[in-house]
Amino acid sequence: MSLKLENVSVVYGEGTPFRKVALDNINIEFPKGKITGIIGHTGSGKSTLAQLLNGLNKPTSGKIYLDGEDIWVNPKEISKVRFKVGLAFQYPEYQLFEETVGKDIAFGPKNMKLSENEIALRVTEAARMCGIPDDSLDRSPFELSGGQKRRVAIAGVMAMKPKYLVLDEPAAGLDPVGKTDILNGIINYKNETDGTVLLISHSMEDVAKYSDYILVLKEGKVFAQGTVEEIFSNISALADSSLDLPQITRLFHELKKRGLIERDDVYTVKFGEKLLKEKGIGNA
Amino acid sequence: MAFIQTEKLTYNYEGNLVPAVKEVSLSFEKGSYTAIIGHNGSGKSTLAKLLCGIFTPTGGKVFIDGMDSSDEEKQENIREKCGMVFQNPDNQIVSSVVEEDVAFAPENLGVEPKEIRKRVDDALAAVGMTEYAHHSAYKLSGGQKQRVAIAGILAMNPDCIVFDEATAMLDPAGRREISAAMNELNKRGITVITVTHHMNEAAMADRIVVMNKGEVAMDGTPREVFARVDELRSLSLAVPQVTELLYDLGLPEALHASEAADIIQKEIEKKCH
Repeated sequence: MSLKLENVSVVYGEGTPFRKVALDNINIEFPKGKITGIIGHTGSGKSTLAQLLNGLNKPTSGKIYLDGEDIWVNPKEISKVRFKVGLAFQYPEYQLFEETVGKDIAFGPKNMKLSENEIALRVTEAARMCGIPDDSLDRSPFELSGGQKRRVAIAGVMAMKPKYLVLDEPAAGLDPVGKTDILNGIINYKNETDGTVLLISHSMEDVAKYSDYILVLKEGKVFAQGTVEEIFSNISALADSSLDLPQITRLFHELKKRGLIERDDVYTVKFGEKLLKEKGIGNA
Repeated sequence: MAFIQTEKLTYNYEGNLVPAVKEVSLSFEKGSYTAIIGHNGSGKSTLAKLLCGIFTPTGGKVFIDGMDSSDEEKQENIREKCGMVFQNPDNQIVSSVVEEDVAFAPENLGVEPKEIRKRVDDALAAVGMTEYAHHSAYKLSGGQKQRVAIAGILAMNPDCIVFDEATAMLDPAGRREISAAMNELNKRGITVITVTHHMNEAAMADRIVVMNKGEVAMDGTPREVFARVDELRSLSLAVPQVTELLYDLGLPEALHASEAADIIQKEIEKKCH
């Protein structure tokens, strides 16, 4: 039971002057029941990867295995893959269209031809996980704030209970509270359904805080992969990948360079505080 | 009178019981660089649209270079003085070729063709997009599109540009490009007002205005504002990570990593002696 890519490449515009290799020979197996953060620059292939996983885009070469089966063996059955791998696009709130929040969340489960009871159950469950209050379900999604709309859109994907949930920049453009609400919803989903989550983000800070495992893409290739600790223990490689390191990581990188502290694999303020307190710095 | 001045400025969206902006009195000097922060729904974007005359107040006044934004006859003049860059880079491009897009506003203003040429070239140079003048606007990255949008406003020779979360949809590289452009514009004497969620961006301004429930909750230099960590937290706002770290350790405040490293170095050296 897993989601695995084997020698996957995607080339856009083959045979034209605009030929571009978006993904170049990717091999990865996403750890089950974990949150994998996928980071990389614009153009590193993150969104192309997301579209491959639920069959929206086809690899130019290589295979994608979902629970051991090649997803493109039978192209007519690809919709089944989409029920197993749920994808929330960037800015999914632009895709809301129903009259009420409840109907919008129910759209996916309805397409799965579930019973009325099951649909109703899934809508309440997804709404709860995303922190959408019950009395909002009868409101128009267009009356909500941006952050609330985003949660409704993501709840719509969660209501299909995909085993694999792929989110492309779920927290982009939100304020700190909106961000926390969305990311906590995702953690709830993982914990309650035992699902596997892939979290695509530009923000190294968010990825460090919320993921178990990190995949760094660079120019269509896997630049690094490992647990959060492993990735941050090789800080100089990360700095070279021209990704934006969290400010706290940059601080400890600088302190180590000055020979003031031994460790620089610091990616949360709390851990940084602990290290400095051990050195006797600041208030106990 | 300051370049932009508001007097008990209020804005109420139709059908809402509570105004989005409530009796705000602020002034912005010519050539100043201000960041407006606040959580979603705090009124910061509404305020930004009022400051450049896109919205007209439902109560109180905004004066832009002495012109009352409620005065319909003044609106065209105000548009020339004060431009706005919006959040979504894809919604602001009107022509398919970069330099034509930048020329759109001065063409509409009836500027002489020769002068337009000059303004377009200057504007593209100011945002570092000269080499893209003949490119297709749709194939640019988000950060590049936003820079074209800025150039389009610059070509009107405005005194002020208001950025409404102009970096929210960009990646870190795009954000850096726009921050650099803001700095450059400000150096050229343009008044910059930026609404942002990114505290590191806000820290680059000379002044930060914190909005909460439609009112001004704090107003000061980044150092003054970010020193009030507890208050910011209670307004559900984050502070830069190093500011948080030093605050929790009871050390002097810092906004940037290098500055924080200096403070910690001093502390460690103190320990050793």
